[in-house]
Amino acid sequence: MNTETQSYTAHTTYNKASAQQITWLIARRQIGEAVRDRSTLIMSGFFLAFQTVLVLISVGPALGDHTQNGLSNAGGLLAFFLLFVGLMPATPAIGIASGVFAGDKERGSLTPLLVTPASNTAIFTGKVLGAILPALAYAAIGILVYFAEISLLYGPDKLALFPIGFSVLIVLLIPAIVLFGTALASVISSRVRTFQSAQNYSSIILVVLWLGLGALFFLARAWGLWAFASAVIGVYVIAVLLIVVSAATWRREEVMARQ
Amino acid sequence: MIETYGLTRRFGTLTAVSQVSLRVPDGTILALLGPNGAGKTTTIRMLAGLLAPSEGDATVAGYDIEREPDAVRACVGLVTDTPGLFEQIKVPAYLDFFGSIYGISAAERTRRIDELLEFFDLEEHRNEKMAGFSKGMKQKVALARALIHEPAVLFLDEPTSGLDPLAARAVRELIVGLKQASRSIILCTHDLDEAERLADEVAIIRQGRIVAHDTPAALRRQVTGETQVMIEFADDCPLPVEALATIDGVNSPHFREKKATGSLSSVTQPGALILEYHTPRPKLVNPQVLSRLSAAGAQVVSVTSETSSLEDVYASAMGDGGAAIADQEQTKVPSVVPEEK
Repeated sequence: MNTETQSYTAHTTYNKASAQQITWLIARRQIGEAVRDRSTLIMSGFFLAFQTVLVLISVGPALGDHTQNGLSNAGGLLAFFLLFVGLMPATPAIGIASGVFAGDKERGSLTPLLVTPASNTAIFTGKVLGAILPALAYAAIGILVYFAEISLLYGPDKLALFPIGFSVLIVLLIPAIVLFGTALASVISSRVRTFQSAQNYSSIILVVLWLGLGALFFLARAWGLWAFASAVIGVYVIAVLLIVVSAATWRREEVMARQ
Repeated sequence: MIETYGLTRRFGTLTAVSQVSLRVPDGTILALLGPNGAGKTTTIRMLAGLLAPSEGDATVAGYDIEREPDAVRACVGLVTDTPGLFEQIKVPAYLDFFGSIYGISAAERTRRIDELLEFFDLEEHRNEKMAGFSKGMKQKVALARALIHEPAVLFLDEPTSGLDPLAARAVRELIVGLKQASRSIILCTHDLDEAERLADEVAIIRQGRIVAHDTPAALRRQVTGETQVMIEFADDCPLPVEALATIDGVNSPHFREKKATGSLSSVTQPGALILEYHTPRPKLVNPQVLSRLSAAGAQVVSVTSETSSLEDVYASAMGDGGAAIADQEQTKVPSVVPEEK
């Protein structure tokens, strides 16, 4: 250690960074961590490969039926897979969200962040945002790969088979679900003691989420587009409320008191 | 400067820290000693603006920990026994992240990071991910992180825990350097030797209460209140023990034969004699004894004196002696800082 070069002066003060800057800094670091996480990358890659195979096996034969009824069924199937391919690659990232607080706490890397002048809201929002954005990116990649796959394998004209209103709502539902799942996993992560607990709770959430989605998908076809649209908006409202209320009530003191 | 008055923290029915009053001026190190669960970390967390106190007041670098926790956090650095790094990134990126949160400009961050990397001998590892670092290197990075914003106050919670002797020594040297740069430092440690070597003052905490607080030398004196003096002669001592016992302040004088170096305790070195006595006032009494011996023609080879070790003080504070020392502490604290609001 080079003690001769020491020339620090104590009592130096710096202008505090703005809350938005700090939020984005924390989010960016969190995103970097999610992107560098090898298991998430492998899992998301696996789901992308899996969806390709699934489309080949399931959608391919359906697209071969050129009757009116067959094309309608193919459209329904394409829309169903749209939901599936959007959410599958995002699922590992939702799992990662369960570690944003609890995992950092266990590794001891949360305390150095809590001891900075960053506000409670900036820390919470930054970490949750950092968990949400990679999950949304994986969902977007899943959807784009799916559309590209349909175009390349069966021709761009097959994209016209997607029931437009229903498909748009599904594309809108995917971020809502990702937002809700990630936010809930992050919130749980911020309120439990261990990463293991956070993961256990998140696993339950994911199972419930998938069951709920399956039910919603089939009910939506019976309810009609407006009811489905209302359900999508409802999921957004719940997700945003969850984040806002959690951000407003999260306190670093409680995290430290639980350690 | 750190000042606390009757600082108390309760978790439900458990009182983790009770009525802690301390004063750590700039450029001094206070070692906080105590067993696990004694309240050291809770005290530090309150002072670092991470936990609100249930009772009491404290100011850190002039800021009130309860009313201005953001300002407190902006001027403190904290290092715990767990480095707590983001191990998948490189040191400059890690330090840059924290520097940005503290609002340090990009140019200043670059300068500070280069300076810290050089200071901690991490320059050659700047392009490596921290996951491959040794515990000592990780702890250096944690210290660099705590210093990136040049804080006035440092809290070091067992900073040498788990480090090899060389790395621990390097960290200790750094702590001394930081003190010389006018920082107030609170050092939590289990290592009594480390506390004795580094700290200007030592506070022993037991079950959330400060049971002893003074300079290491003063604390050692508190245990027995006396210094043990040993005078070695080349030959027999010409004065009998009774003659020495008449000197005021010489307690329990007695002779013993010197043990041969490296031998069993029962083996003695023929001819060599040692006079032992205890005294509460060595500076006054020792010259009188030596003068009397010299006048009698004694051939003195060496004079050594020993006070109690910090380990004795700690053991006393943790055992029944803790209550006695705590009593002394209770009567002493108000002269420095008011114990209660």
